[in-house]
Amino acid sequence: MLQWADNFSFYGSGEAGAENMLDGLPYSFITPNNGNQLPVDPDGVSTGRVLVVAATNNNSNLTDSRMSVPTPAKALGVGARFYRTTLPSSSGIRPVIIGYRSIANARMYDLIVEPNGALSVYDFDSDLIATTTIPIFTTNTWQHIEMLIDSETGDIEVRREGVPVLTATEAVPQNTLIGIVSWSNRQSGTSNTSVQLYMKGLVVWDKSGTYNNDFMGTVNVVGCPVASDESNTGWTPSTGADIYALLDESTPNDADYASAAAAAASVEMSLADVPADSTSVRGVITVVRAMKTDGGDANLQVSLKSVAAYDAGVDHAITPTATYWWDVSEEDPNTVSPWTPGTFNDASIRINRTL
Amino acid sequence: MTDAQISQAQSLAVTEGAPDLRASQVVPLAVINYPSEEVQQFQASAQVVEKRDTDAKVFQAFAMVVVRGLPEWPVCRAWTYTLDGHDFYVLNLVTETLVCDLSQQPPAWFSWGTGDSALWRGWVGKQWVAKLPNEDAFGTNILVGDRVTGTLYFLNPQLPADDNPDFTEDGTQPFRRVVTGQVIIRGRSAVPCFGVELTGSPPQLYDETLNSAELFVSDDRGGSYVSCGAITVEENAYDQRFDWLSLGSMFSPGRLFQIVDYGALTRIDDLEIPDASKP
Repeated sequence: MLQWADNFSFYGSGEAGAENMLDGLPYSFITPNNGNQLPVDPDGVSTGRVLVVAATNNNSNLTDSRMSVPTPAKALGVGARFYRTTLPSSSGIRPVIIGYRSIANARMYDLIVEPNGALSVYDFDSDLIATTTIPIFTTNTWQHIEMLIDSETGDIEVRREGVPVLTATEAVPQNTLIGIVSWSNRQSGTSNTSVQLYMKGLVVWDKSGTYNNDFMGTVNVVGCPVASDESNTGWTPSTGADIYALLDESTPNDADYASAAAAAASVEMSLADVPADSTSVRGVITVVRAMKTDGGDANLQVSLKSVAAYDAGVDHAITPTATYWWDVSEEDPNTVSPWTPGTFNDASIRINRTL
Repeated sequence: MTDAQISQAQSLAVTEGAPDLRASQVVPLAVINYPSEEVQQFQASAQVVEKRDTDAKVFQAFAMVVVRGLPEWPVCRAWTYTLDGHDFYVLNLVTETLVCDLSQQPPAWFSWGTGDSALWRGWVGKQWVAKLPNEDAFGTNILVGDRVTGTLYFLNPQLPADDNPDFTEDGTQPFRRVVTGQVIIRGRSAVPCFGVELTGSPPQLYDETLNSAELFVSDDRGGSYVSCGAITVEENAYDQRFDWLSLGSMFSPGRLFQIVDYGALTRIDDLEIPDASKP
């Protein structure tokens, strides 16, 4: 089941107010990097922004940046594209490109880039479980790396660009819920490096459910903002006449918004298309940034509409602080099968005030 | 009865010689209900328990879609076919599609793409050797697999646009066509370029919304191109002229001319500089 996906292209890059990407998202901590957590793509070719994992001081945190797994699971997969300009020059500053932690933030598994570019998995005591030995990680290019570990069985597998490069079985499986995913550009909490680890196209899934319960492959995460109004009852734009024009920002602007004074307000909007060369859709994460103006009842429900069928998200009791509220959709409610590029492009997003 | 008159009367009392009791003032104190003169009120309020709705505000809405696609598939493909006596070698890279015409000397490389993309949808293909039942209707016996949808096509050199890759959808997709030529200039003198005239086939618009032919020139060996304007092609206007005027001066080593259209011109015969001074 798809748990979370992000392309980091809809948030502010600062640490306060509307710029703070932590508001409501699963990220529990993102290491500040001179006030800019989401720089532009470092490859000089790609557009969009990426997450930078930085170590700016010699603190003893186990991790530099981390997110809470929305639904902790014993078997969890994480995939993303990673980028570094150099390989680590010493052991202490080997980057942890994917780290698994327990709910209590205790180390479970670390996928580490060795100084020669090999990929290795270490356990909770930093003891080596398995390594590719040969170089796998290359510099100055994006590479898709995904790791799926079942802590109950001890099965571990790492793939680069969809190709298995490391498989192993932990001798004594830890059999613990994985509650936190972390990233760091140094293996040792007392080492420091200015070499950045960049990440984009993050996907987190587990082995449950009908869809997305095994390796996801070299997927990408595409951001699709709202593109036009289709219908509206009860939502009022703070300026202008269109709702979508106030909600399609790539960086949140809380100065303009759509508001609903009473329950039963409903707005439906089209979404931007996925790229024409997309071959399949693995899942959709809908996200809205919303708040209520005072204490009291105010619930929002976000749905995806396909033809005349709706895949309704959670009925969120929103709060008086601007917060991101998100839902996962893996199935086209019209065809009752996974979304396709065509069915998603024809779909709409509906925002209901339900209470 | 007569009146009784008394002129003096005294009474004598036997006392214990106590001193006189003198009271200079007597003030009786009484407890009574006495009202205030006025009551002043400074504030009045009532606390009412009510159920009240608040405004819900939405600032941002978007979807993040987990997709697979060719850009995430770093694999190169190569295949060949023969058409009109030319042997073509197709090389599908990650970022663009290169096609080499091996029948030319020296072999010429072209960049092929679908729409405005640098990638051609024809991911792999095969020359179907056996005679097909409707080969003439298909155009050729060259079978091509779409790199995105998996649709199979037959290449048809007669059509100016691609079919929709989604076979359930109607309509076609025009592609960007680029023809580049050059004029070599020698010496240190500038050569005026008063204009160019394009000669080609009568316009046959395949898509009425893509009805323009645009001229670009480059004076830095193709490093950058400057648009000289687009001419709108009028359907069935067989006498329409395609002239671009006042194109400045050309210097050594020369100038590149580039015509770009999306099917507005069926064929280009030549591009002339009628009034150019001979270098």
